[in-house]
Amino acid sequence: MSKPFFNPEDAFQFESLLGEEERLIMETAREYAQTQLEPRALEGNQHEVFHSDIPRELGELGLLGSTIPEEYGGAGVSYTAYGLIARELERVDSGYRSFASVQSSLVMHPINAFGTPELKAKYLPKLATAELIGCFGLTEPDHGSDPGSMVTTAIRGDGGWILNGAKMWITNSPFADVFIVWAKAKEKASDPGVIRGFVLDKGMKGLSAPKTHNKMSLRASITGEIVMEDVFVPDANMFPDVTGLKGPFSCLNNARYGIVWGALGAAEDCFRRARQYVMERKQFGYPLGAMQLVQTKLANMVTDITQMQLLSWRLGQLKDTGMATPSMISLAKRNNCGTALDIARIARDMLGGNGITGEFRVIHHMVNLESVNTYEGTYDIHGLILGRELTGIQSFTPRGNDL
Amino acid sequence: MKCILVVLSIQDGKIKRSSLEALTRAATIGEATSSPVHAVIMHSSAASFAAEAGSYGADTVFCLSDRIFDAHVNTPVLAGLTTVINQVDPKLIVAASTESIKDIAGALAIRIDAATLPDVASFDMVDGTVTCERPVMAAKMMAKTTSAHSRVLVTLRSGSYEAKASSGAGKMVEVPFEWDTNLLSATLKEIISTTGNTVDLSEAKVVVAAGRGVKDASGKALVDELASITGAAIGASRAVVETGLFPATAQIGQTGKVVSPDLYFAIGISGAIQHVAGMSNSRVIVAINKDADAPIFDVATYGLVGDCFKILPLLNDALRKALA
Amino acid sequence: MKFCVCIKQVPDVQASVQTGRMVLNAYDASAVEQALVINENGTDEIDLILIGPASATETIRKALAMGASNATHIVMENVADLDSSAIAHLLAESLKGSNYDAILTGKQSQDSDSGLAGGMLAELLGIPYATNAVGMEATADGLLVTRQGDTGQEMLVLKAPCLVTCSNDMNNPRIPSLKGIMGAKRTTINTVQAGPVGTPKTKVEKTFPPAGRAPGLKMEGEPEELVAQLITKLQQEAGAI
Repeated sequence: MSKPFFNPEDAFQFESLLGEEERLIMETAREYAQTQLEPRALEGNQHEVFHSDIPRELGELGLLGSTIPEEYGGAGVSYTAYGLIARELERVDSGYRSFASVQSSLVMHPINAFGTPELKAKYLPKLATAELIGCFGLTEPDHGSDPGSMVTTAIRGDGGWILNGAKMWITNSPFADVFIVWAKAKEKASDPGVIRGFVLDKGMKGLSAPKTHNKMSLRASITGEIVMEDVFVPDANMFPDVTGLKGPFSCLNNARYGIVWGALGAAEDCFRRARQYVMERKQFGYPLGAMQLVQTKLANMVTDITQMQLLSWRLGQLKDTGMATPSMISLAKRNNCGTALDIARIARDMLGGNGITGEFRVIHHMVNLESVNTYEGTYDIHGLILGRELTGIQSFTPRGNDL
Repeated sequence: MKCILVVLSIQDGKIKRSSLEALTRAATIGEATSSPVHAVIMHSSAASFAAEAGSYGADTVFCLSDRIFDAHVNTPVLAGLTTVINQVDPKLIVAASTESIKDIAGALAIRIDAATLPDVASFDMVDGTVTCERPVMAAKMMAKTTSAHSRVLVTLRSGSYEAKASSGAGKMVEVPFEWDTNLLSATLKEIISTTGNTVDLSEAKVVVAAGRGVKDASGKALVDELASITGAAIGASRAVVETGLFPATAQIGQTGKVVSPDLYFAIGISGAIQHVAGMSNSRVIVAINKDADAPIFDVATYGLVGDCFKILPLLNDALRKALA
Repeated sequence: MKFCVCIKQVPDVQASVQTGRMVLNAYDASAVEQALVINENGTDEIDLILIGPASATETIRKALAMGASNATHIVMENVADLDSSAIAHLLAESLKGSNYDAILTGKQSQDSDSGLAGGMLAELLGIPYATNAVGMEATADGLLVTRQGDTGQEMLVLKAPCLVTCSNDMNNPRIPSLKGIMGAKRTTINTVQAGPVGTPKTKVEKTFPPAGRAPGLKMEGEPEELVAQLITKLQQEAGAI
């Protein structure tokens, strides 16, 4: 046995708790991310470039839809392994993890979970290799945290449905081939409607996906809208058995789970870069790392990161054994995103003027994490989900004086 | 006392400096332990180097003359060395750690039943036990390693000791060597010389080494100019060998060549520990790097913080004048 | 070609911090990669052999995930105490009587940096060998190997059966895909207990951080000043020019 040691990047050695193949998968993701993604990330984030080879490269290594069974092109790996992949991608840039999360959790997962055998066979293998790129439309311009009030409709037509409406903040939509769209399905226009999921193909008449410009965050991934004007979707392209918000929420639960790990990766990279910087940078004759104020910042970071690591690892175990509840995922998503954002801001501060430039990458993480903390349930919304869990009283709808 | 046998390598018509360093060190140990020190030279005209070997402390110089040794093939070298070793029965065998010696060290150790201490930075022999210090773990650590085996083979990193001629004159012994070319199990097809260097890197008095900061062909031209002015051999860090700007033979470091010149110029080299392991024995190190925090400045005798594209033209002019 | 690649598990010496992580020796990874490249369009299988503790199965699985087909694990818990000679003898014992066209391994291991085991194994098996190979292709009856020598590259023709030690300059080892990793999990590893090994001929007494050079003089300023200062120092203080 070697002597006990303290690894600043894995203080409580959670990586040694992983299974053999999980560690190998982590190594594959890390090696790809560090050698292939990192060299492109500065340009990607700074100049809003999503290099078009990246989806195919991820697909070749099996990093897209990795939890999907092998018969549909996945690798059938555990959710812990899926989380480890998200962590490595986001260690480079949240934009790359966002791309992979959408393809895996928001497109391949619902097709696998809710799709007919025909839909699965048609889409999943090609989504796994990135021959097809997918996107997911739930949020609308006026309905973000409250998706139940969506106004996109699907009206019963001859042999299918006619979709109208607009979805916003859609990762991948401008170059997507496949669109998972959630809409209020109505047999006739006057019905109240029930939320159902549809699979749309690029090129369908009336379907467009304009790009969102002037983003200051997640600049290495592409975001857009989905605009539907009388788009006809055949019956075969509807998820037959899932209705209501539990369909999209099942997708979001998986994606949020990936974000738990992703935010950890971003925080770890900020900490590593800050630690390296304060050891190299000298002021007043000493490395910055010799300053008490700097040391306690590092101590706080490593403490927070260690907690995030153990939280993520345990959540993975719970998810792999089918014991994870949505509230557990809310707890971890809220904690890890909020903490990662704090760490990124402090790391940016520790890098001084250099931290302002993209070359040092920390400011990219910092602005990315503003999105990550906001999307798939904001920090506050997850607080309300936990609040409802703890009290049994929902407070999404403000009750004010009527209580 | 049993003897010490030093294997001398010949390159470009002379005994390699690193071989003479090994011989000098062996002579020192021979004196301290009252062991005779012999040398062996295997070359088409081996005898012509015997006098020089004697002047660096070899009591007897065993010469094996055959053209086959000039081709870089391991089987005849193994056969030749085994012949001499069986004849003189040395306790300690010492060689400079060159690629040719690394090529045969393992097989030789089995053939002559020797313990092996490869690529050492220092070594000694006390009461029949050989001790050495050698870099391990990609040069992050040093390991003190010992062997009390009846026969020990040591290969020595260049620049670990200074080569010093003495007044001695060795006796030359021609060892008959017959080689049947049909016995060659591996044959040399061709040698592709990629150095382009007029000066051999591991032997050079001055080395100019380029790193990532040299960037492109225009930077390489400035480096070439500095080398030509100072009569230097050209080295490189792994980074610029990988980009193809410099040949693999130029790579200096733990997995490349170990150099120990009088004067070493590190141009645009950050100074990763693996690189430093290959050059830290240099007497004077000049580093030019625009990153004031680059680790190369921790080992440089003189560090210049600045852009090598701005500094090199001025330095080349100044050196041209100073050396004129 | 029928290849056997000897691989080793080593501490992750590339990591900037102590991780306790054990990985596939990088030079051995290049050997695995080259065997895969040469056999890309053929049906011949690539076998692996590793001496190491039970936990080293992870390293075997990594090489299987890259594309090797079969593996033998010679289980030896205290492998770190063995010297190159003991390792070569164990490998030779296992490989005696096998009918491989070529045995490949890394030119050295990243922990001990000895570079001896390959040549030792070839000598014990009585087969031709080449070390520090940077290129390798198959010929009708053996291998054409390019090795990095002292003054240039040497092209050698080796008749099978032969042994080659590989440099990491030979190729960029592939990153195993998730399908490869999940497939490797299902491969049965042939596990054997290591036979007796003699007393090692060499012993590591202790390891310690290398003594650094004393830092010198760092000069900042205008290029003209820097060059003038340097020339003066080199002439008057260091006597280097």
